[in-house]
Amino acid sequence: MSNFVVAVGGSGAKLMQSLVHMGAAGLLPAQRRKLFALLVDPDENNGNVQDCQALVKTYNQCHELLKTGSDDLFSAAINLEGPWTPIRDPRVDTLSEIFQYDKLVQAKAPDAELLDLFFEKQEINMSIKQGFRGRPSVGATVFAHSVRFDEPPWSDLKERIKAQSAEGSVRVILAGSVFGGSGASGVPTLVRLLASAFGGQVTNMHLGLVLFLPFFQFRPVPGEEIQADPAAFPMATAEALKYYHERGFLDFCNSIYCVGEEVPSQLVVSAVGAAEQRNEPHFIELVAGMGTMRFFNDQLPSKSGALAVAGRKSENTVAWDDLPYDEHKGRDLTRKLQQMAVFSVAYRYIFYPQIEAALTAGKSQTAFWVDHVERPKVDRALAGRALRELYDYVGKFLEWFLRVSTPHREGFVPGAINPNVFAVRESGSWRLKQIPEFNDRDFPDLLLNRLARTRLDCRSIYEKSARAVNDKNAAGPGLLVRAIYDACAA
Amino acid sequence: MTKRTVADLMLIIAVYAVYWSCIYLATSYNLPQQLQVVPPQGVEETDFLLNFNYWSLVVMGISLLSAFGWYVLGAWGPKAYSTALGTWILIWFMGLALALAAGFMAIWLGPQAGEKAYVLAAFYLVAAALFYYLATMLFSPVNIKYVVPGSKLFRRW
Repeated sequence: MSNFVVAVGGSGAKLMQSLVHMGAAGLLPAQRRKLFALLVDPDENNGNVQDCQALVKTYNQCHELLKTGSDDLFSAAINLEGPWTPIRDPRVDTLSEIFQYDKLVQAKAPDAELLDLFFEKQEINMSIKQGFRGRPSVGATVFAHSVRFDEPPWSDLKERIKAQSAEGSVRVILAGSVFGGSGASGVPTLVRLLASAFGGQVTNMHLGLVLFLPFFQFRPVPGEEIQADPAAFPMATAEALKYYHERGFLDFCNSIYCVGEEVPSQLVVSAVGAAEQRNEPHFIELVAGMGTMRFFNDQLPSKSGALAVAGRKSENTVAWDDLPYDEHKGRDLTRKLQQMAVFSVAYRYIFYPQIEAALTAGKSQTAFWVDHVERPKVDRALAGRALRELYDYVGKFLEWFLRVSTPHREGFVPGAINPNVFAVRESGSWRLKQIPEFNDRDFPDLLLNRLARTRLDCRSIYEKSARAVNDKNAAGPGLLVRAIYDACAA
Repeated sequence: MTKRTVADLMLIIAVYAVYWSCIYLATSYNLPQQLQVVPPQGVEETDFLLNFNYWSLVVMGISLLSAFGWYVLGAWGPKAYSTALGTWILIWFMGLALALAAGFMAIWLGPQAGEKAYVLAAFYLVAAALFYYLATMLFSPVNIKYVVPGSKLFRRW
């Protein structure tokens, strides 16, 4: 069964990246491992949107090429569409052009007066191709004007939801920030349009919202007259939440997840749009992702009007126990994320050098290679493609987890993974270690604040990777990957 | 120490138990005499056999130590994932060389035959090398189980 995500703006795209990594680790509910996502952003070249697309492409290659047979690893089937932009005509770049403001003024139409009433002259004439620059009122107007449920991709989404509703309950979640431009305007508009579009047609649809409250700030971008103002974020947030409350969104949304941070991170924003606007991942997206997993799980008991609160023990760190989870299956989710982290480091730094050597030489005496590739006669070309894609993916996973663990905040201490094991700090920022820089003696310290009895050990993982995989569904290069993944279980 | 390690070490001992049986049978049935190995003049047959038995056991002991040394290094020594194949093969050959050196020591210091001395020499050298090879080929630690030449053909566990 499928879950549906509408990810609006840069924050929505970043949540989607978290969901991809969580899907790779097997965190999606067992009975609902398909994810259909639509990215929505007026700025089609937004850096975060591009990163999300690249990530999903790599993930899907791994999902296709690696038949691991595992219920967890790469078990999610992810279909990503978009980005859809509310700017229907690429030649049109301003509210003035969309509504033909000049003609309305000439005709002395009431619509022109309405536009003058609601918007400043600057806003009517500001370019919106790279986002709504913290002006949700502009965005909401454009979204309401543009969404057509009889045209792709909305028609496609509608058909899929209808098809899914015949199999069971439908879970649709929309995500975006409340303080920016695209998310603040798109999320409330789109969820209302979706609820109206289905009306009485789909009675088992559950709508959810993930609302990102302020969690970062940035310095003004030089040379940009109109841009989002971080100083206005708290007020914009208060107004947005008031809007959601007063307009009764909880009457038709089953769940609303609000996530934010008291101490914002300092993000470097070199531009207000396009590929240069690429905000780093933040742990708040991991927290929001856990909420999304909870929403998708239709097996969990739910109560109308219930309030769940996520918090953490210490303000300057996020440990495994701080990740919110449902009391029923939550520990399992954390364990899977831990196993994914261990697997990623082990694969990249311990196994991949020997895999690459074996692929280059065409043969190897290494136990895991002989037992899982040579003896089962796995096609070398296929193995090469798959294992190199996996190397690419684990690099992206580690990069994501690194950023999530090291937000740009004074005094923040990583509490889940030790970044020094697989990354180095240079000139105030972190980067992944190259393979020769990795020291396997640091490996046992990878997972922090973990109450497990067994100690991580490269040698034992290496030894276990040569064990037989007792799963007929594991085949091809997936057999080797499954062996390594199973060896990384805590 | 895992169960697998204990099992491997016991099986290596079992291989050398077969080696010991060969020595015991060779001594009990006076194999040197049957192969027309003649003790030197002035040396009693029984003394010659006892000496032969002693040095065979010395060679067997050193060969066993070599096999154990290989296992210990493979299980707890250099990390298999960061040590080159060539290094492992070198270590293995050094173990073999040690076993063969024990054989040469027995040839030099052991009972000197008046005739067909090469039979004793062959026994010491071939037995030392063969059982070292069998023990390491069949029961190397998992991380290096395919390093020993020929192990890929036979080893399925």
